[in-house]
Amino acid sequence: MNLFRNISTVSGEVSVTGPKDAFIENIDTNIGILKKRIPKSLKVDSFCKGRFTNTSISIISVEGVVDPKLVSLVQNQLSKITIDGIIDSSYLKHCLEKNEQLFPTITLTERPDRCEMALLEGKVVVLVDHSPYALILPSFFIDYFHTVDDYYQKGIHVSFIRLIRFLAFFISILTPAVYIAITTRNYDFVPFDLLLVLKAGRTFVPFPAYLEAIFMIICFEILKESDLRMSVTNGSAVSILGGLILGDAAVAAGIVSPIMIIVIAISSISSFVFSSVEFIQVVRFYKILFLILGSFLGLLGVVFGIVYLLLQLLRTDCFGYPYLTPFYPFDAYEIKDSFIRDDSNRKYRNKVLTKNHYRGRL
Amino acid sequence: MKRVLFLFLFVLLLQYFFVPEYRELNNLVVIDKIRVLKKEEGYTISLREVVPKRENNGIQYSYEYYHYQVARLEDFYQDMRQKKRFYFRKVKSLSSNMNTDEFRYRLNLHPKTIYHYSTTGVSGVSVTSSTGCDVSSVGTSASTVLSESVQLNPNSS
Repeated sequence: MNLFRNISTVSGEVSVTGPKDAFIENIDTNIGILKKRIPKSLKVDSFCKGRFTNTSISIISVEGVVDPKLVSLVQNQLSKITIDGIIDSSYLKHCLEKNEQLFPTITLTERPDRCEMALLEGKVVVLVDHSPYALILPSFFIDYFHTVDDYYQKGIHVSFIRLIRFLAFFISILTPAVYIAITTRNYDFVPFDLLLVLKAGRTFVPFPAYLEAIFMIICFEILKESDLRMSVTNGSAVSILGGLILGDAAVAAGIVSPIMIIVIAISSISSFVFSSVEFIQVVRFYKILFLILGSFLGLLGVVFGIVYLLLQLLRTDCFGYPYLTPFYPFDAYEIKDSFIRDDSNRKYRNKVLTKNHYRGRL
Repeated sequence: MKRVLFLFLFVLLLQYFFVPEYRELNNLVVIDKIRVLKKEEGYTISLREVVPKRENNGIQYSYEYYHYQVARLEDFYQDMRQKKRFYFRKVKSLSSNMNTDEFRYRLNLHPKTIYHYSTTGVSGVSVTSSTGCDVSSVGTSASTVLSESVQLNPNSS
């Protein structure tokens, strides 16, 4: 009797072009998918973990490309784990990542093509039995701005979309804080006509702007959570009821200003350009932190927040690699595949990750 | 714990010394025009507040006028400092029959247009512009400003 489902299409990380197959809960099938894609030099180290579950785990890498130190580091870290059972690959992710670090350093993916790209780049993939998600490590800050689609399209179009993603990141974390700062403390930064429009928007609103923003963020999170937990048909009804009817009624009742709805909506929608759930959660954390700083200290608080964010990014340890690569340490060549994508850098791999720098050679 | 305490004190100090005062936008009196007339017995200062209101057919603007009679300009500055909800930094036009530099810098005003009246009359006065624009059109605008500020709202203070 077959205990596992068949290979199905990708559900979470949708791409416009590219392969549609996804990993399933069977580790042997998942290894087979990768072996079919990379028949040569694929190295699979398998062992079992979990006192009660004895779950199979495989560390996969491409010999000749991956740095052997990285593989041994992962093996060493995994060997130290003492756990009752590994239910999902997320369990391993939490064991491997440092708790005090907020930014994710391991990517969860259900896409075999993404794993294939990472393996050929010199990264390591960890597969866990009973989990349809593979772990890619190390994952740098810049990796969360990239999608598999970026490598299936022309560089110039991809560069535009990547710049939009960077913009979306800053819009997402900064917009509510900047709005609160300029409407409560730093009016001088707003042109006169815009100041009047903002003032008009707040006519009859009885709450302070920061309370209004927090209220709206909580409402949005409740909507998102209920939408996620409900079935597909009920979920759309919740979205319509919450998003359209409640939003419109709240403005008509004078509880919130229409501009605040726009600010919170644009901020929350901007965070959805990222496919990683962990990264979206980090963006949400910083959005609220910046909002608090903006409320207490105005634009000065926002500046302090940006400095804190940069310090946190610099302090993040990504399995011994710099998390902000290629920005810090600066790599003029690799920067061509960061917030833009120049097709000319397809010849070489990331210097930070591998000593085998030239693509197509062993 | 020490770090949290230090951060708390740091934020408090910053807030007290460096951060502008917290005031909600709907409590802010945005002044767009000021007229200062020097008379024998003191100064007449008129302020025009823009009141934008959100209505079904968009934003409607109305105006409130504030009128002050003071013996010394210092009294006005003192009064304005106490009423912090008055916001002068975006004043668009300033009309005066006196040298406005002192007034401008003490209130930190940088209006786009400044009208100078050569006499202290109420209307039909000759006008010169410091902004180098057409004097005849400035004269018309200045008269409008003047007449607007003279027609004070009886309800306003």
